[in-house]
Amino acid sequence: MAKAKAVLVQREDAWFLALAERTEFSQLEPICDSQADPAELASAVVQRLASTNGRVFQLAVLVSSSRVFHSSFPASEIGGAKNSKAIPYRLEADLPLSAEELLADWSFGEDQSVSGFAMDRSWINARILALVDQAKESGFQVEVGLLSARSLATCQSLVEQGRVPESSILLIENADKIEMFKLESKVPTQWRIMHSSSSVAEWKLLLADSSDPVFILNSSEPNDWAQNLDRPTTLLGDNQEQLALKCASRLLARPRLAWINFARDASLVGGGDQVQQNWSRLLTVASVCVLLVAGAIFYRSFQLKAETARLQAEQGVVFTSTFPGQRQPAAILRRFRSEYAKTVGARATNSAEVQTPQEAIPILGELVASLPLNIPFAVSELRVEDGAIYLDLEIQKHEDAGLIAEALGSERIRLGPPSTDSTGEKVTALLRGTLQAGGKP
Amino acid sequence: MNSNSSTEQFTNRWWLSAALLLTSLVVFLWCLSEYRAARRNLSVAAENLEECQDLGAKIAAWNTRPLVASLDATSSQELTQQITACVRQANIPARALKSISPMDSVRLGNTDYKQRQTQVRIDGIELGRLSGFQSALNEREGLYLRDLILTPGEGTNASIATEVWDARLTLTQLIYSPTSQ
Repeated sequence: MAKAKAVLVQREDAWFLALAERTEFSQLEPICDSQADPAELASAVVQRLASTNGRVFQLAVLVSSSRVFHSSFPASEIGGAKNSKAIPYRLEADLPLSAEELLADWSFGEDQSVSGFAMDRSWINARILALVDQAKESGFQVEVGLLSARSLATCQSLVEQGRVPESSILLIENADKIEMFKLESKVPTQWRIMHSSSSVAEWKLLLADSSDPVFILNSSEPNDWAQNLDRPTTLLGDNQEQLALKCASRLLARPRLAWINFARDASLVGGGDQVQQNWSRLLTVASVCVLLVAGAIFYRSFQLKAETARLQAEQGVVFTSTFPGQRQPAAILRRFRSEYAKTVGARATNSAEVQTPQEAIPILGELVASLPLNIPFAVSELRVEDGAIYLDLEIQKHEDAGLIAEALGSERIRLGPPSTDSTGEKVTALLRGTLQAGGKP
Repeated sequence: MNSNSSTEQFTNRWWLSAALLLTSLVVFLWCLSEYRAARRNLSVAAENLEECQDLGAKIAAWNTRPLVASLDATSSQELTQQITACVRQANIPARALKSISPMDSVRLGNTDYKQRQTQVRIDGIELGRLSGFQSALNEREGLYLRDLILTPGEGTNASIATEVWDARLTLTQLIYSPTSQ
């Protein structure tokens, strides 16, 4: 939603409001007395804002110079420019406000000096809060983008327009007061508010330590004192209010360019609200991003789980095809492993300690087939024990034993030399042999 | 009053956003852990499937080989029935079967195998019938006729092939019995 711009200006006599119409601001219109309480001011502003079509307003608040304090000091007093958090505590030494009570902003000069500005935190907070709350109740939103002093905005506007050099002395005449700004490279290092009745001598004393050119912005004819300063002065006929409005318009778009902007302080309600809202919005956006990434990750997890389920179902298919008719177990892989171990175990002894028993009948068959038919003998006992052969024979002659052994021996069956023994008329022979591994039957 | 409520609103909104972010982070971490688990599970499932397919192929290949050991320890009763059936199958007269003496199975060293021996005595049997007995045994898983002692039986014939023998047989059963089971 586009934000409408508005500028709230406090002058000594009244609060004024100007609304942006496209790129240009309207004329400042008085809305209430300068001394109005926060609720009255808020009510007057909201009433005026409600008459427009805008729903979100970006507001620049330019308060009277009398509401802003200034103090300059060397940066070394706070331990260097980096230690800017110490500035409010240094300012309280010069100002009638404690560090907690003041709202501060500052700029650093080229000579390592600090030009600090402050205002009463409670005074401005009460007004901005009332304004923000009443605006909310009326259904629109007000954000304070710029909070500064009116004359500071005027001063910045003149420098940015090239009407005044970056280092110069600018006198701004307002009713019975004259504000003196000493500028050094765009930094207002001195800010004094003099009464218009101050004598020429006082002015000379004030300007004595500077040789910078003097510019006077006045709303009426120049006073006598200005002509008697004995130094060249330049009179500027610009309209102060228009200068302030132009500056506010520009700085609302780019608040960082403001020389002094108290709304930079995150603790400022209204301005702080915006900061908080930004933080809140940032956190919400971050949350949404995190949730989106989490959602994407979750979706990917879902896909991976589906793929896992498919692979697990495929395991079931492999099981069914390998073990048809068997009930599918819960732990398919474990079953596969145990079945494989059983299959291998039942079909191949997997240890050198376990040998498949040597069957006796094939050996017997070979022996029977090899027995010589032309030699008379009788078998008393035939033993086959795990491949070992023992043959106990009755023979007629001792030499028959060798012939029988020779006939029985083969590539597979190796017989040792036979032993013979005769008891009376009987001759017995004992043949021992073994089955050779790898031999052809 | 207004300012306080406004401040509270801002604070509440900030905390609400922070809580939302925190919750989002918790959800994110949970999703991340789910994702990691899902990836790990997918990887495991793929490896398991590959192993199942590999083992399935190996099992199919091994199944073409003959059994060298039985998978179950047959009870003495079953073993006796099996031997009797083998005797009958080999056309050996029932009266020739004199004894069946199963022994307890013993583990072979530290292997996954057990061995059980059974002494069988058959008298007056021809060698040809013994061969038939062997064939019948071979149809049983892991049952081997490892040892035999033949002595001439009564009423021997002229030929060794036709004469009858008294046979003392030792049947050896190899049983696959993993120690982890």
